[in-house]
Amino acid sequence: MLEIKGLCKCYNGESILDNFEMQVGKGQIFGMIGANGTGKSTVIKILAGLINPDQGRILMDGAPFLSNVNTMKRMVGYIPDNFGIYENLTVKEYMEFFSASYGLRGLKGRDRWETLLEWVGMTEHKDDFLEHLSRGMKQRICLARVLIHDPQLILVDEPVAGMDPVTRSVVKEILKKLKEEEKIIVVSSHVLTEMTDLCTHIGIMDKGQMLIQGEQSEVFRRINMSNPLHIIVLEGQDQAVALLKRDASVQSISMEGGHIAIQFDGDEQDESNLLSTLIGYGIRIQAFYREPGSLESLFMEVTKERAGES
Amino acid sequence: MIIRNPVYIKEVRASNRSHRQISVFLIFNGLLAIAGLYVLGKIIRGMNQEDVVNYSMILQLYMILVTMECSMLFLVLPGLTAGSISGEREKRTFDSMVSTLLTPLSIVWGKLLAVMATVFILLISSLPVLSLVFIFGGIRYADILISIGGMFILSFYIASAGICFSAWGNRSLVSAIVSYSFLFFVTGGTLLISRLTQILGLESDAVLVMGEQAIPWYHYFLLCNPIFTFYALLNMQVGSRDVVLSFINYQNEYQPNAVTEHWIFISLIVQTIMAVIFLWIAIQGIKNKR
Repeated sequence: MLEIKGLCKCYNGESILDNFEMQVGKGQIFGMIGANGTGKSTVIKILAGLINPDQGRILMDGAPFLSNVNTMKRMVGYIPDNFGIYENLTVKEYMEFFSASYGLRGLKGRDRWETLLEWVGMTEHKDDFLEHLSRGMKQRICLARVLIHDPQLILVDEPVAGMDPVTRSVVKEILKKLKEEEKIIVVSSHVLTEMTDLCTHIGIMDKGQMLIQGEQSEVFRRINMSNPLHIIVLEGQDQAVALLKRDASVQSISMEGGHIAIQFDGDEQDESNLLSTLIGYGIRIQAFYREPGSLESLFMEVTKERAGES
Repeated sequence: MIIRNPVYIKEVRASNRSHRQISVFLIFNGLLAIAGLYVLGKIIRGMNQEDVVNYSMILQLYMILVTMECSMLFLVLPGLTAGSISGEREKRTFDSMVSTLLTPLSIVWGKLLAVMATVFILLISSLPVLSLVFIFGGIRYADILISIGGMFILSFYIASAGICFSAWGNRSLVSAIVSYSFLFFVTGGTLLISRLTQILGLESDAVLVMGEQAIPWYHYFLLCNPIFTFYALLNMQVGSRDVVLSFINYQNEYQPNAVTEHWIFISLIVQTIMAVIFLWIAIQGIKNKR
């Protein structure tokens, strides 16, 4: 498990990370979500050993993570936002360079990068120059090279920017495989819609702090509790409204035909009780659901709350 | 160790197929060949007119070619090294490279080796032009080898400085400007310092006892001057061993000492030490986590 505790980083007196906290377990794809300049890349770069934090602790399975640079680098695979591609090398030469950089030479190295090229579907391009490949292909090559030393922690900075559908599906497929291999994957992005598909866990960042984090469905659930509850009634609308008015958890009711939307203050148990009551009174219900939140609405909600607090 | 350095292999692969490298080779050898053939033509015309072989002209041809080669090499080097590390930052490949198991030492070493490989090829490729001096004899193979060896060692010094400035720079242009400024300081600047008192007319009016004054400290800056070292090396080959002293001690007021006696050897050591210091600073530049 990766744990970040009280991480602080300042540049020229300006605080980029302020008591930042994060936990990511094995087999999780953790999406760090935040607007530009919220400190996502700084966290990624600290984890990749490229920047030193001013304060705070990073633990991997309970042990200090940054204390031994070599051990740390062996554990980390880092994809920067621009991929770090050498345009004037062929795919094969690029893979050879990175495998040699991790001490994998000769047949051992070759076997490894050939397998990875196969994974990302780029085997037939191994003799092509990187400058002649599309952005999506470069992304796939970059993903292959980052896995060359079989890292435990994979850091991906803004992976979805400009990703074509084929690459997106390849990347998703590979991340899924890595998840099954119990790797820890941290992805940062400001493209929220893409993260919904990609991540199992999410954390929302603002002004250098993690505002909310957890399993995606759980985070949604927590935030969605403030969303309206929709009830589509086929028969007995008036009776349903009367029952709803009697419920203490119902804050407001709006109705349009058989579609009733209520602001409901209760938890999932209260929702279940309410549904049972309605059915118990013989009201025919076609649908009963919380309005689903999007990552955008979730992000806006959380950052709005924070703005309100400050 | 050399061929196993991934940075060196990558650099050699990338640079050998770049248009810039090919242009450097073409211009370098082209200019050298034009100069060599021009001077050789002059020698042959002189021979035809006077019916004698003027061996001092052959010596002159050798001096011109080797001096020209050395000057061009020093001018090319900051350009070759300026983008070696700052270029990685500009192309945003630096973070990917340093996040691997490559140590700052192996990165700097690989970059330096790649530049020195280019220098080596440049020197070897110039041999056909340099061999013009063998047409009439008078110059030994060993002289050519010593000159080439000297240029190679001095290039190590200039290349190390260039890599150092590149390691601390975020932009290749800035690194190139600093590298060229450094080159002009150690070549022209140290000569200027050595002659400053003469230029400014600050020489002592006191009656000097010839050959008994200690050499003032500012003349020793010339030990850092690779052109001056090479000039001394060339003059040693053609038999003018006291060239250093005659430059510093042009008024004959100074007493020769161990440094002036062994100027070439000491200056090579000084410049090698400076090169090592530059490489160490370059390593710190890569280690520096901003």
